[in-house]
Order: sequence, then C-alpha cells, then structure tokens
Amino acid sequence: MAGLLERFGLLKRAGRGGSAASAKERLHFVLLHDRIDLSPEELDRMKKEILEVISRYVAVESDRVDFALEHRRRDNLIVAEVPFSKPKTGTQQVGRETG
Amino acid sequence: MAGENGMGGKIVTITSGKGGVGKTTATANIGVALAQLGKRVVLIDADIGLRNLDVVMGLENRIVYNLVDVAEGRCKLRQAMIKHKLLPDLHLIPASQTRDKSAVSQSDMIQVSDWLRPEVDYVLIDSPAGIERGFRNAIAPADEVLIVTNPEVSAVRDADRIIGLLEAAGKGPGKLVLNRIRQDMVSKGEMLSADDVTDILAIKMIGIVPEDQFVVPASNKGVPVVLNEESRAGLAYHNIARRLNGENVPFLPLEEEDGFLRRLTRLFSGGNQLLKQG
Ligand SMILES: Nc1ncnc2c1ncn2[C@@H]1O[C@H](COP(=O)(O)OP(=O)(O)O)[C@@H](O)[C@H]1O
Ligand SMILES: [Mg+2]
Repeated sequence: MAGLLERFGLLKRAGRGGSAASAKERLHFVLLHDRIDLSPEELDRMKKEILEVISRYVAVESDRVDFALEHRRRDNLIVAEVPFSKPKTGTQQVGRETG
Repeated sequence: MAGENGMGGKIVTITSGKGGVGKTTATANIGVALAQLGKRVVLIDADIGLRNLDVVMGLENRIVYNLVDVAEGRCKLRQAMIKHKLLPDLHLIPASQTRDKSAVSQSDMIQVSDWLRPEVDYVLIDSPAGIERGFRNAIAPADEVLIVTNPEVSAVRDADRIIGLLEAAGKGPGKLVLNRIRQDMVSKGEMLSADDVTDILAIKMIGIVPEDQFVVPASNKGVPVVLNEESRAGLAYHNIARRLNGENVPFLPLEEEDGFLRRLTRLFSGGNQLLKQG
C-alpha cells in the first residue's frame, strides 16, 4: 500500500531513508550554527558563565551538564540541562529544599 | 494611470545568495508573464559586469546605453530602456558588461526605481549572486523580495543567510521560489521536497518551478520559456506572476498536471485579466 502511494507521490514523507533525509538533517545542523553566529570560544564562555550563576544557588553536577542548540521554525534555542543535587548551603535564602 | 495602489508600481527584487540557481531565468520569465497579463513591466539587470538578462530575453543586439550610463548621467532613463519585440509594455534596462559593481550605488538604484514607479506596474530587479555590494544595491529599492533556491543543501543554506540579511535590512523575510525540483526524485526520497524546504526556511513559498528540458533551449533562442505552451516551468513562472499580482493560485496539482488542465488554466487567467483591465 505504502509502495503504491509512494509511486503516485501521495506519501509525502516517502523514502525517508534516501539522501533527502540526510540533506534535511544536515541543513538543520548547519543552519543552527549559521544562525547563532557565535564563535566556539564565545559559546564556551557563555556556558561557563551560566554555570557560575546557577552554582551560586544550587550544587551543580557539572559532569552531567548538557548544553544544546536547537531550532524550531525560525526560533533559535539554547537548551540547557543542569542537574543539581541539593540546594547549596551558605547562600542567602534561595528556594526551598528540593527533593 | 499610475499603478494599482495609487503610489505607482511595485519594485520586486529577485535574489538568492548562491549563484546559478535561476535568478535571471526567473526574472525574465516572471517579467514576460506579467506583461502577458497586461502589466507594464521594466526589468533591471543589476548584475553589473556579468550581464545576462539581455541574452535570456533575446535583446542583446539592441543595447546602446545601460544602467551605469543612467547612474552616471550619460543618458536619460528612457534611452537605456529596450522595448521587447513582442510585448510593447515590457522593457529591459541592461547592466554594463565592462564596469564593476562599484559603478552603481544604493541611492542610484533607489533613484532609478523612483523614476520608474509612476510609469509602470512592476519593476523586476535581477540581483547578482553573493551578499556584497551588488546584492545590497539590488535590494535597496525593493518593496518585495523573491529568493530563488534549489532543493540542495548549499542553495538552501545560502537562502537562509539571505533571509537573515533581508530581515536585518528591514526588507524581509521575502518569498521563496523553489527552482529545479524533480518530482520523481522527491518521490524516491532523493531530493528535498517543497515541504522540506518550507519547513527549514519557514518563509512563504510563491512558486515551485520544475526542472524542465525547455529552459535551456529557450535561453539559447532568447525566447523565455513562459512563451512555450508545452513547458511546465513556463506554467510555474506564469503562476508566480499571477500570485505576485495578488491572485490566489493553488500550487498543486496545477504545476504537476500536464497538457489540457494547464492550457485551461492559462485560458482562464487570460480571461480574468481581460475582465480586470476592462
Ligand atoms: N527550471 C529549470 N530547469 C532547467 N534548467 C534551469 C531551470 N532554471 C534555470 N535553469 C538553468 O540553470 C542555469 C542558471 O540559471 P540562471 O537563471 O542564469 O541563474 P542565476 O541568474 O541565478 O545565476 C541556466 O543555464 C538556466 O538555463
Ligand atoms: Mg544571473
């Protein structure tokens, strides 16, 4: 059935294993980097500074931190995953106890 | 009678970033199609030093003055306007073949466009490739920008860059012409589809032009392919002209169908136009 639809061009996403799929994936990646327009050094510094700020409030598990660039439609996103174990002791009343 | 909006004609720039994707072919064909719809059209070749639009239009043997001569005050605008052989309301202002892009400025382009605006319905500007001075000149007077791309990684990437620059210049995001698409390859998953490209670039599509065997012979002869009733690319350019003109022309299946349906569409669009004119 799918083969038939494909043959008549009715199955839009047909043959996603073909080179068009890699073209699309590669374009997503390339455009993400084109659009952010920051040097690797700047990106690195930004990560460090963000982590510095977060670390002032909570204890960050730095080996599990993940920063990623994503884009949805024409929005560029910096998505940060920052696991933390417990509120940092000794900071001025930040947040409540987290479980 | 000035243009439809009372403010005179519309300036439309055709650009791309990457070279060789079909800007000149699109400019020539959309220009001819608009003239066929009864519009007064001037085409400007802004690719100074690499002029092409004159040969694609079959007007190379009538050139006396060019855009640089106008910019430098060596002739009047009228003298640089070459009338098309078949369509008296279609004119071309050719580029200079000997000078470089620095011979024309953004304000020259705006000046020329302002002179033309009260006289015509559309000015189409064929932009050079790249993102440098020639591109800046070409978009400076634009009311609307069409970005031509091919369903290939490099061409789409460059189109994205152009969209970013257009937005930064307050001219964006523009509308997309996807050129040289092959439905057979799309169906096999070996070519980016129109949906893929729209999805990635997230701008409005104004035309999908198939890869077409009649395009090269047409430019060999200097007779734009839109004048060839058999050509599917010709129909696609014709539809772009109608969309530019504010008509709501559905994309598919008209640009996919062959023969009869296509001719029927043309017949109707021609009829509509006559009614509007009257
Ligand atoms: N839809 C098409 N089908 C087949 N050939 C095409 C098509 N569009 C453009 N071409 C060919 O591609 C080449 C580059 O086109 P051109 O319009 O000169 O590009 P640009 O002005 O962007 O450099 C030309 O040889 C032209 O005939
Ligand atoms: Mg060109």
